[in-house]
Amino acid sequence: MNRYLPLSIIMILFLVTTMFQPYAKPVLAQESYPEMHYSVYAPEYDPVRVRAAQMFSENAKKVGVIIDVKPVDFNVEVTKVIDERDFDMYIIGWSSSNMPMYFSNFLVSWQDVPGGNNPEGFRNAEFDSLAKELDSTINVTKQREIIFRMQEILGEQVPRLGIYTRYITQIWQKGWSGFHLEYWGYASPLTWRNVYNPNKDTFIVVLNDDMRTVNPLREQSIWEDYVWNSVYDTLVMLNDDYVPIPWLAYNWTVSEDGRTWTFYLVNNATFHDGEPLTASDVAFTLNYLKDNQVPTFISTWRYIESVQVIDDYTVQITLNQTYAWFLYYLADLPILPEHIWSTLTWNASEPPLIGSGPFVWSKRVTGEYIELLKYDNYWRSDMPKVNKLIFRVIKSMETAALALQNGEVDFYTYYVPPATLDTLKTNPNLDVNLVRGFTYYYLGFNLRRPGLNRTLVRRALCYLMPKEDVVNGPLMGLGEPANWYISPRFTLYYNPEIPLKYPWVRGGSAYDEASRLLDEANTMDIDGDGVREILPIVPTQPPTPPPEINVSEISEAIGALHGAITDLSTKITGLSGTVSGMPGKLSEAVANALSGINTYLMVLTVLVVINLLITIALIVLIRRYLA
Amino acid sequence: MGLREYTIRRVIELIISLFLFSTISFIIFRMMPGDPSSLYLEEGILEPGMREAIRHMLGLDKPLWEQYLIYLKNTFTFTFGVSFLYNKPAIDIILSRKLLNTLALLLSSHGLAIVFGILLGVWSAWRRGKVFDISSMLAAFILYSLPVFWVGIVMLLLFSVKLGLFPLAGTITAGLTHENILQYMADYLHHLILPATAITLIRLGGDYLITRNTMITVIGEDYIKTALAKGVPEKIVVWKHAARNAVLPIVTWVGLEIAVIFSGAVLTESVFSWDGIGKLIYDAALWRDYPILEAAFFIIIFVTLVANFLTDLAYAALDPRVKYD
Amino acid sequence: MTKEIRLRQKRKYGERFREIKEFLRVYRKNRLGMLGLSLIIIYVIIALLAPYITPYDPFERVADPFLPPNPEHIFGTDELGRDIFSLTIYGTRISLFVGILATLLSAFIGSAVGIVSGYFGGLVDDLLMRITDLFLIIPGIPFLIVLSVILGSNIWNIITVIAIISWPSTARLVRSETLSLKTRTFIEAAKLAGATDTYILFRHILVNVLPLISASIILTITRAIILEAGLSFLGLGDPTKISWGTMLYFADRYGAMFSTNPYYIIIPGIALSILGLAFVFVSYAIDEIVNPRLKTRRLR
Repeated sequence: MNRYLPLSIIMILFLVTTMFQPYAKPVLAQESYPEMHYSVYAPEYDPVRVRAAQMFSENAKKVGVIIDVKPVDFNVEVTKVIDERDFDMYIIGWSSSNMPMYFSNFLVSWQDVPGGNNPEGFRNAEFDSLAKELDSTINVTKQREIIFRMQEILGEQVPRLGIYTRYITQIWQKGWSGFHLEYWGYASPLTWRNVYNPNKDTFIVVLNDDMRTVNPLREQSIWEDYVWNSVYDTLVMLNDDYVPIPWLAYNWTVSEDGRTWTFYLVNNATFHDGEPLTASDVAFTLNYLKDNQVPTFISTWRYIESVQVIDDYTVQITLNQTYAWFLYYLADLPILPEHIWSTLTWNASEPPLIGSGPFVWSKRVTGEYIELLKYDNYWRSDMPKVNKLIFRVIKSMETAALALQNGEVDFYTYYVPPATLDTLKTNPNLDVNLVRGFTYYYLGFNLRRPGLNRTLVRRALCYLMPKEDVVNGPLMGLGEPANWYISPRFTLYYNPEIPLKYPWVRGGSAYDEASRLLDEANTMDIDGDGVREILPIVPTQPPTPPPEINVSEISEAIGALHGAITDLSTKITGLSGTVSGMPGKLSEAVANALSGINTYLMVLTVLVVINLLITIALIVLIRRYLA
Repeated sequence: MGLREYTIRRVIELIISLFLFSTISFIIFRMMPGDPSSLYLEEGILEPGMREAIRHMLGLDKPLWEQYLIYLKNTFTFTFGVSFLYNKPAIDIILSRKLLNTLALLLSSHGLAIVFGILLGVWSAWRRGKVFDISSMLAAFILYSLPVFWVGIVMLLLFSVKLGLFPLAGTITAGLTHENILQYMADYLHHLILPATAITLIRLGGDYLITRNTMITVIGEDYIKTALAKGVPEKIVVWKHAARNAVLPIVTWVGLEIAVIFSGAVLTESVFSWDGIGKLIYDAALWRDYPILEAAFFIIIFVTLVANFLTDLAYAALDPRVKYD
Repeated sequence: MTKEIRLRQKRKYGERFREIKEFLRVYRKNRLGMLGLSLIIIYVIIALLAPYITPYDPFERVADPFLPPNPEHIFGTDELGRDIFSLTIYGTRISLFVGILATLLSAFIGSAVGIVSGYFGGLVDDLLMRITDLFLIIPGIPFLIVLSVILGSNIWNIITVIAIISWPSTARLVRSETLSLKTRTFIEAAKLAGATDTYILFRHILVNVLPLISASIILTITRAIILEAGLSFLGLGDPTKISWGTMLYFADRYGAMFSTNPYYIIIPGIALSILGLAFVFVSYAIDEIVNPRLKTRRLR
């Protein structure tokens, strides 16, 4: 027995260590000058992004920059990039390029925290102050000026580089009209209210995935929005130019300081059970979200101080700070009936779907279809124009294409495989439109990494990303290069000068241009291995003490030593990032005690060991008492 | 040691296994980087503070040991917590139509594979070395080395795209209102044929080879020779005497393979967009829906373990020669 | 070591050599076995000489996308306009590599666990077998998905993951063979002669167990190749490498089924199945030779 004990301990240790082997971090080789050797993450489920990364990597190799392509699970990429911020470059999609409010919250220094909106670590004092100013500006012209300037800073500094945007395919049977498309890149709620065909009264829409939950406060996917948008109404609506227009609130006023909003509601809106929709329902909805801290609507309730019902059809909302984007968030907020939801918990799994929208929830067969009927007492008598709205769940795009061909469905909007598109285009019964989507895919740089913290290096890399080739190759022409941070469709806030001033398009001389920029950034292959080394930049002015702003060229004055320090500090931040990824007082205490050791894995290891011990003990007991 | 002690011992072992397994699965699932809050980031929707709020809502901000205790409690009370993705108790999601769909697919295909496997295997062993035996054995080898998802795609290509005989995806025609139950059944069957055939083909090879091997051993036994010598008709000897004894191992083998069978469903279901447990597990793994994953794994393991336990117990109770060991 | 022992050792090696020669002589007569072996050799040659065989660079876009088979591209082109024939040839490398390496790794883990468990028995056996059982009943492909998510997708991790889920059956087999060997007289004799456990494990048991389980190990290669393809097809492989699985993954994602070149789907699958079949043949042939139980019993 004693003879085998060491052996079993070794086996256990072996098992445990093999389990945690992937987490062992390689020790960085000590070099006099760091090499330009990076990696780029791309989500493995999307062949286009992986291939874009590959093409980028091949180009970079030609000018002496090694970039390893790392296709990873989407969740892993999010963890690595956004939570741990342990990456060099990454490619990801960003769907909110039509939403100006993100300009007050992304790439700003206070978002440079684990989980924040600035995984790049972009620090720019002017950008920060503009973002702060933007948040409290309600004058549209002023907003426009600020956002224009912010786009210019981004174009010049390129913390991220737009690569491409995909076309969304929107297909409907000929004869239908009244579409309002392109809202979020998908169908707008106005579509369900306006769609019309003189010969038909049932409108059948492809739902690309089944509703995961029927609770509008627990939104899980954009497809659920299709249903809720037709069952519930909102205070305001976004029109085709993404400007808020009156809806349930026919008018609104805002105080000078932008903190008090007064909404005047239409007086003939009713819920589907006949109860009138009044100011108290609006107040209830907002208070309900705030009291329950509903996560999916956090931006809506975050700044609400109080909601007052002035009279039956007037409601006044007081915010605790000026909040420029409040209306945009209200455009997304379903008004819940107080008489129903006041007795429900907010995350109930099967709440009754009673709203004030143009359609009444009628029937759902899980995984197959959802049927909605026209609400006869809808407050706008001219809407909706069809009697029945059916959402048919078809997950496979090929099947959806086939259903369109056969005339079984009236409307489809999303991507279709390129090979299928040609057949659809030739069908005389179908209208096929390609619309530039709002999701754009970009390459983000980690500005904490040596080399990538130099603007010239980033610009050189921008020349090496073959946007046109990506669009024509892996994307098969179903998209276009993206040179922007806010969609060109959003004419109100889009700065058209950016792509002209900073084209970053790979022309014939891309390699020369990139090499020139890299030389200028003082990177050079000094040991003759075909990979550039990052040489320190000779200070042109006396070095300032290590500033908090680690990006600007000034900080590079400290040279290679500083590079090493940054590297070390990145490692430490990375570690503390993982540690703080697991909140709770206990873990904090443990984290402090064992600073530098990954707590999460520690706990897991301990669990494994305890488990094995218990098992051994039980086996011994059995052998002793039962054998 | 008597039967009673043996049973007690096995029950305790079963509980240890379940405990060990549930801990390991907890650990493995938590080791997957990322958490369900990333779902909202798929298309880049990131509101400041939203992910923390979601983590809090899902109880993921609790210390790990507390999550572990909650998990143990949920597991051993068979509730498994609330699914992150579907906002419903995980057990309700698993014990729903999805399970029925998967069972329909697996039972029909494996039933066919076993029946044909046994018939062919028995006959092939009897005609050992003849053309039929050699050709069916070659066929079995070929089937054994085909990847199931590829067979699925090729069948879709051939029968759905080129010939238009069968639907491309799903369990019933989406949006079609069925007039009566018969029409519904016909529609369901129409969708079932391709995926079920794919699995049947793939499994047939293995089932056939096992039957053939056991049958060859059985044929060598003396009682078969005696029966033949006594002049019992060949057909009766094959199908009544020999085949009966050859069937037992394959049935036992299938019982042991429940986990393999369920996991094989993942690939088939994703090729045919069959709305079943396999796809559910796959999605749950990608989106870190721990309750669903834990529930699905636990149930599969539990069923396998209990099935093993019952077979052993039945053997022990019926066969006096079995040593309680 | 005394001279006598060394001599005995030498005689023993000679015996081994004769055994292997005898095995090869019998194997050469097995038609299926030889067919499988020659197929495998052809595949290996193809894999090694891939750059010289392929008419085009598999990474280069050489024609329009989804071209149907034509004289220049005998299997047509893929969605980027790359030559499918060249891609398939290059795919051999990854599939062979992953299949063989994963199997070696799983055989290593499996025999280590099986031998230790069977030889020592007792608590070690109980514990190791409990763990083995656990791995045996864990639903394979979902577990594979979870593991590959944890480890990330590169070729080494795929090999590790496949090995992790395929070692338990080898372990069980090795254990049962070890148990039956343990009671044989020559082991007892070695023990009495004062041989250490390690010596007996390696010199007596392992050497005698390996031939018995070699057939099942070779069969594992087929499973490993299919598993790699399945993982890659689900998008959990390494999409930057060319393997038959990733080809099928891209074909599926780009809707090749509906395109003008359905051979994009068919060809990699056929290449994969033939390789799998070759290993099945070899495994069957070895099984026939090593397990004589099946060899001569022929009733009619």
